[in-house]
Amino acid sequence: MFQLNDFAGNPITSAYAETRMRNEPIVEMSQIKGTSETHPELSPNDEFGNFEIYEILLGTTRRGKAEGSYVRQALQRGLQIEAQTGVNPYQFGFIGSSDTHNAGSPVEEEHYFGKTGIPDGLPSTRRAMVVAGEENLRGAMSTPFYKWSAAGLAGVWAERNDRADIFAAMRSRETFATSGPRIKVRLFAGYGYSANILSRANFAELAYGGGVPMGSELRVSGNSSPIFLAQAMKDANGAGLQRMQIIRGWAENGVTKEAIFDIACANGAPNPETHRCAPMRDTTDTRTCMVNKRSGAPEMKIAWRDPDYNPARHAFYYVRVLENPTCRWSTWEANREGASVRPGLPLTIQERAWSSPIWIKS
Amino acid sequence: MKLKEWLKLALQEPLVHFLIAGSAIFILVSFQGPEIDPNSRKIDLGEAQIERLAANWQATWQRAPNQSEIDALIREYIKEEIYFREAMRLGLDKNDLVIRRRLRAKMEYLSTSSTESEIPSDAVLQNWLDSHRQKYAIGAKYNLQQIYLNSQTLAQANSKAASIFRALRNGGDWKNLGDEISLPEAMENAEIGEISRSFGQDFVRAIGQISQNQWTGPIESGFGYHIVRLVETSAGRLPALSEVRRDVESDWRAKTATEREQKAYQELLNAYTIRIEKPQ
Repeated sequence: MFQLNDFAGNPITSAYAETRMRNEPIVEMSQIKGTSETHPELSPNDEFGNFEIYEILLGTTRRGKAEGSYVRQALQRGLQIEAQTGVNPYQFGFIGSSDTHNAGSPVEEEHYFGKTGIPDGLPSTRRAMVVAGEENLRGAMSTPFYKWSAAGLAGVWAERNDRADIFAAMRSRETFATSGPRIKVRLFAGYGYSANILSRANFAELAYGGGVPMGSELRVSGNSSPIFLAQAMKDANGAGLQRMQIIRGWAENGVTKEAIFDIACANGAPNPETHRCAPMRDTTDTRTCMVNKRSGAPEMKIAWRDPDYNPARHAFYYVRVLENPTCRWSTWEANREGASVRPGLPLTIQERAWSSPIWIKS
Repeated sequence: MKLKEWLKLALQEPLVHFLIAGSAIFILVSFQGPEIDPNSRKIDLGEAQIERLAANWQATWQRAPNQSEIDALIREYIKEEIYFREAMRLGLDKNDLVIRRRLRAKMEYLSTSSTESEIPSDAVLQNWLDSHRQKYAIGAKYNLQQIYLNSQTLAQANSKAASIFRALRNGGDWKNLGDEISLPEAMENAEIGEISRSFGQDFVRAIGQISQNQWTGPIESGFGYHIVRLVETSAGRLPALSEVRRDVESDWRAKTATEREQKAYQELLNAYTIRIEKPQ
């Protein structure tokens, strides 16, 4: 998917990179067949990276390769290829989607109804609970549908809710992905933002005026970090926000690298040494799955500077915002059926949203 | 309505375009003259035919084909024509399930499209509108103003609310009261659905119960608590047919297509004598 070589095995050229970018300005990062932000093998230090990963190649029992299959690594590789060819083939914005085949978009964990119709349209075929005789299932029916996720959503920051503006926003990558909830997230970066910008009524106008929105490139200016303005609103009907993070990726001497910073916490501030929020316990009641509406933050809005900024480093920055844990669809389903969830499935998940990146270039 | 006006209106309808195009194809197909003799082994590919191939190609690709693409189209056409004629020669069209289904589908299309030009009367559409009230109802609209409280509990919200009510009574500007959040302070002429998208279902449920035009609260939303002033600016109502005629007509058409196909089929069926002998 996101290789260093083209289909014929030759190194990616600038012409290939341009074609790829023209045709693929945004990438679907989260959908029913899993989330492709990153994989624990690629991001061993990302404690939130092992999220709704679906590794089995469709229609087979084979596990796919992590390498070349995940978006964060693609962004890193894009920078490597750009250093060699002058063009980045993987400079995309993010969206989530459903991939549904049944004309319905099952985004809510509480109301998940599968995506392919007959094969996974019933609790007994989705098999969130162990079903008697399931070892005899063959072909498509033996797909581990219980590992599939409730659908993701594509978010777009457009000036008007019409076709022209929505397409323009996708072309300029001013989009975001969510794992299903209607979280809103946005990111700006610039050098001249005033100290009180966050509390100004015309925040968005000032943020656009003094910098660039997510999906854009920002040129390096001076030696100190640009200011990143990150904002996220919880889903009006969903769980509160637990933490907001910035993920920085880059490449150094042929090695891809990443760093993750918590930049806002539901309670208190991140530890300035570890860049992590204080540990928070998962208090979800998995028998009722009721969401405590007052736990977690309704909104997070922060101006952040990279504490480890290097103007010579060509890097991307994006926001990941995590909800407090809530029941996974399989837990809701097992509760409704009065049975217990299949061993090995997580009972809760931390739904999330990802802003498109901003690329800092010299 | 005068005939001229009616025609003008009709010509703007996508459905009419579709019907005209459909009839044109039908006429073309029906009146191409006698079939080519399948026994002939001579293929004539004239300018008109090649232009037609190019036009088809352009309809798909949104640009004219270049010379090598035209050559490929011609090769394909010749291949298809030769296989077609040889298949006819061998009688492969007889008793072919796919061909029968295709021809049936064409007839079904013709049956429905012959009644597609039917303009439903006002009475028919009014009746449709009346029997699907829910779908066409226009929701009530509201002006909403809200003061946000970022309290964790209702008790905390109540004590904050008390001081805000005091400030309001003393003539304080509501816009300067409460806590900060990136939610709209005010919405104008908003339907319940719009309010729900910003503030959530619980909030909408709660404001359905409050008295109008006075500050009320705290009311819980997905984000915290709010003191709210709500004014209904227009009541919900069922629109007149003239306001939603387009939607009603297109829904009526879509939903009654099956019925009209059955009617057309029935007419054909009536002309047939059918004898059925079931096996014992």
